[in-house]
Amino acid sequence: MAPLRVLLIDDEEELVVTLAERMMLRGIEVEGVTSGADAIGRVQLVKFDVVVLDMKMPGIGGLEVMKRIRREQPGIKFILMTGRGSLEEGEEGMQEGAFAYLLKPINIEDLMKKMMEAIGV
Amino acid sequence: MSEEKLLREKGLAFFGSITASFSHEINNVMAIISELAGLMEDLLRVADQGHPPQLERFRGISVRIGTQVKRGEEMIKRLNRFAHTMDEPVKTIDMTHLLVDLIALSERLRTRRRARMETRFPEETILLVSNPFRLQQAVFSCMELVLAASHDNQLLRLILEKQEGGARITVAGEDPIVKTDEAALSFLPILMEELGGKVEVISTGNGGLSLVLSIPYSMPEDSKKPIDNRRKPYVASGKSTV
Repeated sequence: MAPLRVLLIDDEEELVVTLAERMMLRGIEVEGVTSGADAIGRVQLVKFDVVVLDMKMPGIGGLEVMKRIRREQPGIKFILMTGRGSLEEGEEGMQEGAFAYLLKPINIEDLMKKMMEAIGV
Repeated sequence: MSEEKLLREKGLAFFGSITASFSHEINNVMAIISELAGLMEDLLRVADQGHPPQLERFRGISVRIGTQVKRGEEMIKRLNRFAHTMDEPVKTIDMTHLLVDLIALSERLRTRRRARMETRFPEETILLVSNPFRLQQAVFSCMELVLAASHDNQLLRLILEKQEGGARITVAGEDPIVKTDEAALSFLPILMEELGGKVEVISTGNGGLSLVLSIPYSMPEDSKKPIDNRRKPYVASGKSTV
């Protein structure tokens, strides 16, 4: 089976780098970006299975990023990350068709489980 | 709504806005530390499976954790100083220190609008006897107004200067005004009157919004009392130029 391809989006660069390192240790192919604009640029060039997206980012917000990525890759699955104070954004994302949302700080095993469920493994 | 009630409600909203935004930042720091600790555990698990432990990688992660801990400590110190600005309605304030803290506290406001910031502070210390919380609220409101008046990606200028009888703070945007928040703009004179000062709204050379706050060395005696202990009714003196 081909490795899972994940696009990780969060404006905190250190979080992106660390979470990506942890995913790679679990056999995931992961690309990390720190803005919605960069993410939209990447999905125009590369096919991903899952997008892990922080909902609260400067510039293009999480929901808008979701919509624009979906325009490029309609079948892509979204797992959202939100803070405890912005649960409504996670709920909104679910209404827009996200597969799941997780509260920050996230648990990597929960994230792995959700990603596998998202692709039907 | 009475001015007293408005001042109280807007003050609470400002406090909420800063603490919500800053606690989000602190949560991000905690999330990073949690991931870095998790990465160490992952590497230990790999080592337990017979691979040689990658000591250099561990050292690097330890440095990265230290950086985040320092970042978090600095945030908590600033948030704590901000919370304590509510302790006394009046105190002697070093304006540069107050504004440096406010710039850090308002970082998320700027990053949301992808704004750059340019500051100019005088070499000499400017000390005012004023209400630190209300002063920060006034400058923060100016930043919000200027950022909301134009498109994203603009340059926000903050200038502190000494002037006769007190200090002047200019908050200005460089891009032409698209829209103005009239409700927020109409509250600023009330806030400045509370500080014994005034606000002037000026258009910059290229049509950007510039707000100039003039603040006296000392607040009016009545404003030094907590709102509940004031003489009634409260009479507005109409110093504002807005």
